Formats: sequence, structure tokens, C-alpha cells
Amino acid sequence: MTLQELLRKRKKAILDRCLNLLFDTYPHDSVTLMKNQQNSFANPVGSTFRRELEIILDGLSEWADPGDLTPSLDAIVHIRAVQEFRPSGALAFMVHLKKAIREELQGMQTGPEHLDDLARLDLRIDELTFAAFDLYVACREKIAEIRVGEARAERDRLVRVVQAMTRGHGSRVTGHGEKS
Amino acid sequence: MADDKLKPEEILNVSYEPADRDWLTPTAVFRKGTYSYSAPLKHQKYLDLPNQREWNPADADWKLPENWKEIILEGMGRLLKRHRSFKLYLDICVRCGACADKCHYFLGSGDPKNMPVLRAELLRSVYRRYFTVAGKIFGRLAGARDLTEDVLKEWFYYFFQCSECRRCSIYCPYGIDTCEITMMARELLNLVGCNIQWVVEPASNCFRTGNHLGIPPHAFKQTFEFALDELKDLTGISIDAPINRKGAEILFVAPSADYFASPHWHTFLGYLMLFHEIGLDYTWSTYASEGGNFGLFHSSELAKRLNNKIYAEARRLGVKWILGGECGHMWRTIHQYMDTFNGPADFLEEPVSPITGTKFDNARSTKMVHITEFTADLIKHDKLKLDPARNDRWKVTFHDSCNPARAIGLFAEPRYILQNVCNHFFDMPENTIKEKTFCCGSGAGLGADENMEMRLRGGFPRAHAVKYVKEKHGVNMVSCLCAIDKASLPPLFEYWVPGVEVCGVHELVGNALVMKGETRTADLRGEPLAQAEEPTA
Ligand code: SF4
Ligand code: SF4
Ligand code: SF4
Repeated sequence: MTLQELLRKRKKAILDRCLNLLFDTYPHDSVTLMKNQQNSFANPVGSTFRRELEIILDGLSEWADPGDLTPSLDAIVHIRAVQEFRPSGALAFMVHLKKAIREELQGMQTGPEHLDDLARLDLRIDELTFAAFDLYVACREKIAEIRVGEARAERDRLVRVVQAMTRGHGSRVTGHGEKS
Repeated sequence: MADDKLKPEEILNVSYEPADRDWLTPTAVFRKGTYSYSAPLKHQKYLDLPNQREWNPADADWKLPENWKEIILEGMGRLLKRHRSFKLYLDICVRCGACADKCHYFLGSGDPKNMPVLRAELLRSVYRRYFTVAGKIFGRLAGARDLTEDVLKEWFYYFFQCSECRRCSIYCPYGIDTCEITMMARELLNLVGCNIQWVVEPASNCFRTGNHLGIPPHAFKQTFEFALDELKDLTGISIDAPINRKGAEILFVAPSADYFASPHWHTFLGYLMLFHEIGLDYTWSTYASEGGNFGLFHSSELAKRLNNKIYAEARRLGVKWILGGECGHMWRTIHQYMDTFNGPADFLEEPVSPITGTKFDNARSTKMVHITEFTADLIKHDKLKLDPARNDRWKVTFHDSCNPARAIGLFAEPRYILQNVCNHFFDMPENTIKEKTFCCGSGAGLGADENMEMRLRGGFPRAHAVKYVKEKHGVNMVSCLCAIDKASLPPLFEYWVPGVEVCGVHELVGNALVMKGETRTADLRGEPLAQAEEPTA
């Protein structure tokens, strides 16, 4: 069996292992809900992780172009980048991915014939890890940008207030007891 | 993530696991991005708040008064006597967990203390310790804990992580409203001077000038000039906007963000166009120039003080009834509290639409009608000439702002309007709208930019549903009825679903409204108008 076939065969087990490792980065009391609730809108974080990790795993086992996997990676990174993690912790799921694949393949008959492919797979995951790092930084930059944008909107609002305070009186506003 | 600096020896200490502690151990960690700044001294003074001082939640020393514990416990005793619901909510929770995964902050953060049941438990545990026999005797075994400074800090952290949206309450088989527990907790925190800038400053502004933005009457008047000039350019029509006009039939009150912030401004233009077109006999007021009520996020006392001006102004101007604009918590205050705060408004008449003759029975007691009820009724009676094709560049969905949805059950009217003023309307999935709507993540005073990460976590469930309709139907506009939403949804979508914009319902009404004598080539955002071949009447 080629590595690709092995991965395909063990996909479900690898995905579960990987998801468990990812969910385990959250406090124990939260994990049950994140794992079990199937409705995507009732469990947006858990369902996003499940969906996107599956796409990533499929892509890896099919030797997909890493570029095709970045939207999925981005969806996960977006969530992790605003949660209570240090950058290393936020991206730990990429390390977990490698770990999950290795552990799952351990019991299988992998031999010297797989070594090249395994090395290639590792390289792919490393590439994706670097991509995840870039995406993470982009998220953090976006947050900073949004904060600047809010400050700017606040300033614009104040400018409008000041303009309104300093301009002369107009005509079409009827005021103070006048009948319109 | 935190941007607190790491020490060299901490850098390699990479941990992928959470620090699990039992919930009785207080754990608030004030990391930048996840909490709001404290209220500035100036505004504490304006409102004459207790324990006035400069302080910072991230500091170890909160400069609490020496007898802070007595103050809190005494306050708790008082609130328990005053609000039967509070005592009931503390007593009857069976920890069934039905509410646990219903809070958007929990869903977005995975932090168990954001489960409504645990959020309430933070306060309930102290209640047990000091106000129940079991708690006094068995302590931790009975889920009771001492009130310590760490517990107080945890209260501050988590009760300013609840947007008082009440989503959890509709899932509780006992009707426990965790929002009300948050309200009580905030009242208690106030007693020792622990409140946030984003709540206290608008409330103090409102107290001084009549609105959250602190706009004095002459600036208020001038901003109308800007709007009317803009409308003249856009429609060719000279519109009138009466202010403080005694003897008008209707007083119109909107959130002040509508006339200064963006994208609210376009909704403001929409109101002005609509009222002009139907020839409404109405007035704006510089005194009641704020529909919103940040007092509500502070204490019932302050909410009452700020709310008072609406009836006072209605009385002074001698109007018959009151019409209210697009705002979220404003409607919560009006619908649920105004009557007992400052009513009965027996000097006003039961609202009747002067255009259609419809009696708004539902507003019999408060005498205040929501603008979407009013406009939906106009459309139903065919009183408006509308060309929905003018909104054809938008594929629209509707975000039920929590308060109009859960506090007054306003589901049908805004949808009815939207379906009449645009051709492409798509609802989000059922468990994310109407009474089950998700908050924007920034309600109840949590919309400060320093709190951005928390807002992005809390807003994720909403954004996730928007993303779904964007991918499925190409939705590019989210319409809503809340001034805070209009400010907080654009940054939320910028992060989670870029390419989706935000508007008020009356912006789209303004676009679609075919006015007598108009010359229009652009919509309210100044973009070229999509014209229908045959305008539908
Ligand atoms: S934010 Fe809303 S859902 Fe969460 S605890 Fe508060 S009221 Fe309940
Ligand atoms: S749903 Fe109601 S009874 Fe059940 S845990 Fe939540 S608050 Fe308690
Ligand atoms: S800001 Fe809007 S969405 Fe958020 S709690 Fe208030 S009404 Fe709800």
C-alpha cells in the first residue's frame, strides 16, 4: 500500500485523533460541547475545526497543492488568533497534525518504501505550518487595523460634532416652538 | 492572544494545554484585548459615583474602599429584597446545563466561565456562602465561596463579558435570565466603584447634554442642517426637520449615533425622507436627543434617571404619543421598564397612526411605537411608493438585534419592510435569528476598541451565520435595528466575513422610497441608483 492509500484508509482515525488534540487545548468543561454538538450554528468553533481539518487531511493525502489548503487553514487560524492562546499555542494544531498522522501510522505496515513519501509529507506539513504562521500574523495585523479604524471613525465622528458646533445656523431646521 | 511581554525564560515554555482549575477558584487574567478600561475620573464625578478614583483593572491594587466587602454584601441583601426575580434566579437553578452552550461568548471563546450557568454561579456561590444556611455551614461542599478580592475581580471580568443579550434565558426551562444576574452583579460592582469607561462616559454625557455623544443643542441642530443639505443634493427636495416644536402630534426619539456615526447616518436620512414624504406632524427634541440608555448597563437607578427625559419632553412639548427609532437596548428600556420607571404616561394618548388610522394597541401602556411597526403599517396600507429595484445591488439579510427581538418580539415587521424595499432578501439559519438571534458581541457597553478580541470571540457565532448566507446566496448587506450593531458589526465582518456591509432598515427604505418631485440618481451612500424599468407602486 502506498502512503497515500494508508492515509486514506486511516483518515477518520487520524482526523479524530487530530481533533481530540485540538479540543484538548480548551478547558475540560468546554470540550464535550465542542466535540458533540453537530449543528454548525450551535457549535461554530467545533464545527469549523472539524470541517476544515478534514479538508486539510484530504488535501494532504491527495498531495494537493498547499495553496489550495490555505483557506481552510485560515479559517482555523482566524479563530485561534482571537482566543486565549500565545502564538505558539494558537498554531499547535499543526504540530498535532503531524503527531496524529505519525501515531496513527505506527500500527500500520509502514516500511522503507514509505520513507520518501513520509519525508515529503513532513515537508508539506512544515510548509503549511509556515503558511499558518503568516496567516496568524495577518490576523493579528487585521485586529490592529480594525482598532485603528475604530479610532479613526471615532475621530471622524468628533470632527462632525465640532463642525456642527462651530458652523452658523441654517434655515431648513425649524426650532424652538416655531410651527413648521 | 495576549500581547503581554514574555520573559526570556518563559519563551520556550510552550504549552498546548489549558490550565484546568475547578470553577470555584477565581481565575480572571486581565490580558490586553479582553477587558474594558475603567471609567475616567471626570465622568465618575459627573455621575457622583461611589469610590471615585483613577484605577486600572490590570493593576494588582484596585483601590477598593476598606469596607468593600460589607458594602457588597449589604448591597446584595438589598437587591435580594428588592427584586424577587433575583432571589428566585439564585435559588432555583438546577444546573441542568440547557443554557451552557447558548452564550456567544462561550461559543466563541471556549471559556467555561462564559457558560451562562457558570457565569451566574460566580455570584450564586457568594450568595450561598452568606445568605443560605447550607452555604454557611458546608462552604465549598455546597458550592459556596468566600467573597475575596479575587472573586470580585473575577466578577468584573466575567460580568463585563456578558452583553446582557438574554439568549440563554430562552433556553432555560425555569426562565432564569442570566442577563438579570449580570445586571445585579454590575450594580454591586458599582457600589465599590468598579465600572467601565464605555458605560459610564456615555451615561454621564447623556446626563449633561441629553445624549451619549455629549452633543449640545446647537450642534444637534446643525447636524440636521448637514443632513438636509445632503438630502437636497440627493433628491432635489427641500425637507423640513422640526426640532423642539410644541404642539406637534408625535415626538420622535432616536439613538444619537444615528445623527453622527456611520453607517447610522444613512438611516437618519431615511427617517427624514420618510417623515417628509408622508407629511408627518412630528418633532425632534434636543433634550430627549437620545433613545439609548447606557444607564441600563450600570444600575436601574441611572437607567431611570436617563429615561425620564423622554416622558418629560413629551409632556413639555405637548405631543400625543412617541415614535422611537432604530435602537437596541433603548427598546428594552422602553418596553420593559419605562412604564414602571417613569410612567404611567397618562398625559399621552394611545398611539394611532395619523396616516393609516391604525391603533397601536401594543403600545397602549407606554405610548411609544417602534418605527418598524409604524413603517410596516404604512406599507401594508399602501401608503408608500416603493421601488425595491433601487436596492438591487444589495443581497440583504437581517440581524435581529437582541433587544428588539427578545425584549419586544419584533420579528415580522422589519422583515416585512425589507421584503418590500428590496428584491433580494435571505434569512440566516433558524437557530441564529428571531428569538434565538446571536448578539453582535459588543452589547451592554462592551463595544470599546480595547476589548476587541473579546468582541471578535463573542461576535463569531453571528458572523459564522452571516458567512453561511454569504456563501449560499451572495449576501453582501446585513440590515439591523440597533445603533450598537451598526457600529460593531462592520469591524466584526471585516475580520470574519470581509465584503459584507451593514445598514439600518430605514436606509433601505430611504433608497426605495419614490418621493414626489424627486430627482434621484444616487442612493443614500452616494452610489449610482439601480433604476427599475417600471417602478412598482
Ligand atoms: S451574554 Fe447573553 S447569552 Fe451570554 S450570559 Fe449574557 S445574557 Fe446570557
Ligand atoms: S438552563 Fe436554567 S436551570 Fe438549567 S443550568 Fe441554565 S440557568 Fe440553570
Ligand atoms: S448591541 Fe445589538 S446585538 Fe448586541 S446586545 Fe445590543 S441589541 Fe443585541
